[in-house]
Amino acid sequence: MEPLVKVNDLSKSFESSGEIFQVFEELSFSLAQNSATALIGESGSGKTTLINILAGLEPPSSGMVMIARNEIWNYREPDRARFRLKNMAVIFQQYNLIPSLNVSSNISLHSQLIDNWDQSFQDELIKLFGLKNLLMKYPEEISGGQQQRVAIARSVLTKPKILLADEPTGNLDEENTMSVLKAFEMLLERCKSTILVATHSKSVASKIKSKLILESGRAKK
Amino acid sequence: MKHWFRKPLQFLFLIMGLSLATALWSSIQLLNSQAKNSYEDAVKILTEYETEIIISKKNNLIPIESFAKLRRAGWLVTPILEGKLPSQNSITILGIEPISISESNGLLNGLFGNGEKLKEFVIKKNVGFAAQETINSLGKLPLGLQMSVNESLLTNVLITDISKAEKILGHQGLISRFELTGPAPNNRQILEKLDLRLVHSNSQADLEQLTESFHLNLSAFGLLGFIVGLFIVYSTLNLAFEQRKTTYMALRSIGVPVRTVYTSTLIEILVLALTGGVIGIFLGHWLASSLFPDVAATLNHIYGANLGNQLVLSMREIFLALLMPVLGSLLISTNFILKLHKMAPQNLNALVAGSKLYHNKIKLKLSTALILMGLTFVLTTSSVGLFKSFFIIGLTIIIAATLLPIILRVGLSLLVSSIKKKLPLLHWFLSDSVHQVNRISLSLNALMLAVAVTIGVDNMVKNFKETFNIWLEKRLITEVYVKVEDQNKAELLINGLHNEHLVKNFYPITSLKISFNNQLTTIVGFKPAEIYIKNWPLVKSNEQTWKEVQNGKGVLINEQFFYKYGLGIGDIIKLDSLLNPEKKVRYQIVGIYPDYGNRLGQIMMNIHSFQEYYSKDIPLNFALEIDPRSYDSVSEMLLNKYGLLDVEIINQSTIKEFSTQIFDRTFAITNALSDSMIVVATLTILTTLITLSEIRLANLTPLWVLGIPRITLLKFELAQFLMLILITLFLAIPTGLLICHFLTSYLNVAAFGWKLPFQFYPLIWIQTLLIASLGSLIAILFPSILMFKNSPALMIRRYKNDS
Ligand SMILES: Nc1ncnc2c1ncn2[C@@H]1O[C@H](COP(=O)(O)OP(=O)(O)OP(=O)(O)O)[C@@H](O)[C@H]1O
Ligand SMILES: [Mg+2]
Repeated sequence: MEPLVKVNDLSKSFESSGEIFQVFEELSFSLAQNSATALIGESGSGKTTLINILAGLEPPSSGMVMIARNEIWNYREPDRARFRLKNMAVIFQQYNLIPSLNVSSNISLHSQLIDNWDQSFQDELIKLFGLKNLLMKYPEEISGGQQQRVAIARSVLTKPKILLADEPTGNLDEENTMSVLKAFEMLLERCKSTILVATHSKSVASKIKSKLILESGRAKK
Repeated sequence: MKHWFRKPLQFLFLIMGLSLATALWSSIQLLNSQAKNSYEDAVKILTEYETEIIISKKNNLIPIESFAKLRRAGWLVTPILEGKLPSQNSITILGIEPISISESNGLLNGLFGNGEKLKEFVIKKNVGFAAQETINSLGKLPLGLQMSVNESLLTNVLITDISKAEKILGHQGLISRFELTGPAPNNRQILEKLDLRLVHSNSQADLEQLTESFHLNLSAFGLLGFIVGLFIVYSTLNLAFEQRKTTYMALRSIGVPVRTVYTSTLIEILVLALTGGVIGIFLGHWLASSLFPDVAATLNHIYGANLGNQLVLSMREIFLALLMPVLGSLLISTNFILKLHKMAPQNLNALVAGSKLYHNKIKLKLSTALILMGLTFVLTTSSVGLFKSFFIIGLTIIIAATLLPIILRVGLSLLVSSIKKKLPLLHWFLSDSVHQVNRISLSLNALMLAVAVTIGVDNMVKNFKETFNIWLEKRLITEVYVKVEDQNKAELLINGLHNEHLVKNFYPITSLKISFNNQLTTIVGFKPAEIYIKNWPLVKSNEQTWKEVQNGKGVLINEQFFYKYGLGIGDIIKLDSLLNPEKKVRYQIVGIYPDYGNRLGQIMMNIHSFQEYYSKDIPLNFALEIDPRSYDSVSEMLLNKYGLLDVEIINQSTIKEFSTQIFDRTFAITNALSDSMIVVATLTILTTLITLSEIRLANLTPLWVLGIPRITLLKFELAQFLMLILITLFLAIPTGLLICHFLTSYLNVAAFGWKLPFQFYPLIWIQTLLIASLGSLIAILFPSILMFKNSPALMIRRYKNDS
């Protein structure tokens, strides 16, 4: 089967104060549909940068990103955004939530926007992440780890074709980390999703067989 | 401090907001004090000092013996001899009697200053006072006077001892008039005996009232400007520091002592406020200077005085002008430090979302507003003085400012719950708006207040003008008025006008001032003829009104009298008869009439009653009923046949034109100021939005990450501001009307003793709203576009690195 994500010769460099800093160079890899991959690399190796590029949030310096046969960096910005809305879910380390909506609305917003909302799935996720008592609260009123779980629940609820997660378990304890992995499994089983998780966590990495390692600007499978 | 170097634009706007607020306030205040000074200068004109004077019935000079007779009868008077210098016609010489004139306060106070000069004047007898310019033009005329410079005198006025003046003018033993230095006794028989009559220099009193209303207007405006300015300062600084909470928290967490953080904050805020304030003073000075020609024109027009065109910044003005930003910054620092103090480190995120505390505060605010409303209501029910009216207006503004965010929040929250899940984006939009209200409520308040004040004041001015015109129309019942100075002419008129075919009818009017309850009150005698019954405006009357006036038992009172003594229709008043001191005359009040531009209480009675009990003097005023088209021939007849002077004939339309002109000029400044207030308020919105744009970015980026195109977000952003501002502007209408109501029904009554009937002028509101909306639209567009101009990648980086 054709891979869902194909990356060819992807390079990214930043220019800051006149100097060019190369994060990675001619990166090529692919992610099969309905698979989970752990993105591993030391701090500063470019994990976040790669996820941003895949999500269509930050342009690459050169190279090609193909997602479900869409070359996203050839799109105009609004189209790329719509593509992301429909097909992807992105989880960041921080600040995923919309401050003006309460937890309940935050969880359901994305899936409602794409008309993909499923009450029973939502209840299931709320139970899984232990968010029941937080539903009426606002993001500012809950802890970092709780915010993280809300963001993950929201992303999973959209049943995305591709889920990109940047250190989703950074703020979570062991038990919750297990819940996150469980939710990812649900996606893999029920929705045939493709998942890429950037992580430092040994336990997360050990649970995911396929690995993508970023090392001195190169990718290793 | 480094913060500002990283965000120069924000800094610029912060300073701009501060300085504009200061500029607005200081220019109003500058104009106000300048106008006051100028007016006081104008009043220094000795000859025009408001006073009661006694002159000869025949307009002759008065023998000096009358002086002693009057004093003996208990009249506090001082003799004055006035005339043109024989050798130099342009100079007026005023001879005064220093001992008796020094009994009066005010009159000549500036002249003698301390007792030394008075002593010199009394002993030497040959001292003359004049302004330097006058002395120069006197040159070496052989007057035998030792000149002393006094710049408080008008040019071309020379003051000296009365005996010296007698010699120079060649009027031995004669004087021109007496001026009263104390209240006139009610027994006036002595005047009859000496063939004298008491006159009030009315014109001056009228002028004074006009200025007073002018000042009151500016003062009220100054107060409102101060409050609006305070809001602007507060909101500007508030936002700037709200953003930096995290920095402060971080400083605290790395062990910088709390006190250092607080003092440095305080110092920084003060420095900012003072910088903005000083720039603001310059701006304000500039604004005031550009408006001042108008003010000067107004005052010159009213007083015929020549005001300088120069505005002077005094220490007092600078101090007052800086008071506002400093007060505002102190308020904000206290508030800010309290907030920092309460904030636990884990609540850091609070700054992104707007504070949670706000939720709890809403009840507190609502109850505060309700309590204040109750207070206002209680205040309005009891009698209202000048200070209280200002206080009520201030309260109204505070209440409106407290209620605005509550109304916005509650309204939007209701909408949110009604649409819930069906339309997720709309749901987000409204919820977000609720949060946005918290952040920009202060600047929305500034805008609302500015617009409300403008609407209120404009509505009042328009109201005033319209009422005034209608009133003039009604009150000037005939085409021509004649006001003569001496009784010979009056007698000629009374005997001759009957036979003039051009004059359909004529109505004598006479008046004098008496003291009622120890206060000066005017009594007017008139002929209650058909034309009065048809036209004379009355605010309260009954069927018996005119019948009672005609039979002499009833009188009409003006509104001022009504508010002063609380005497209304049906009440009985007893007045001392002036011609027969033992007798008290009983009248019943049968009607109340509006009497704008007058401060004294007034009683109108049948002229027969007037002549029986108060004065047998021949009336000097006449209303002539003529065919409007024959005005020219009538005035020609009056000039030629009766020897009247031009100034003694008053055309109805001339009065109207003159009144309207004075009126328009007086309020031209108010208009200019209220317009600049709106401009400043929209600029505050701009400042706020620019300051806010970073917080906004943090709020919008999660949506962009989800996949909402930025252009959609931009549209939402614009729609949101527009919605909030439109609601705000809409709420400004009732607030403005309330302010107008208090201005017309309380402040006016307290200050002038009459009430303006309240009217609505929706056109003015719409006009003001349009200006404000247009300004706001520009203010919204600029920062929103600025915010979205950045490349999307920068957006996410920025937002992730922020805080
Ligand atoms: N806007 C930028 N300008 C310049 N350099 C940048 C920028 N963003 C990232 N970098 C650099 O690119 C490199 C990769 O950053 P990135 O955030 O992708 O690392 P990471 O692998 O996610 O690290 P971590 O595990 O600590 O999150 C870093 O060395 C960083 O300094
Ligand atoms: Mg990272």
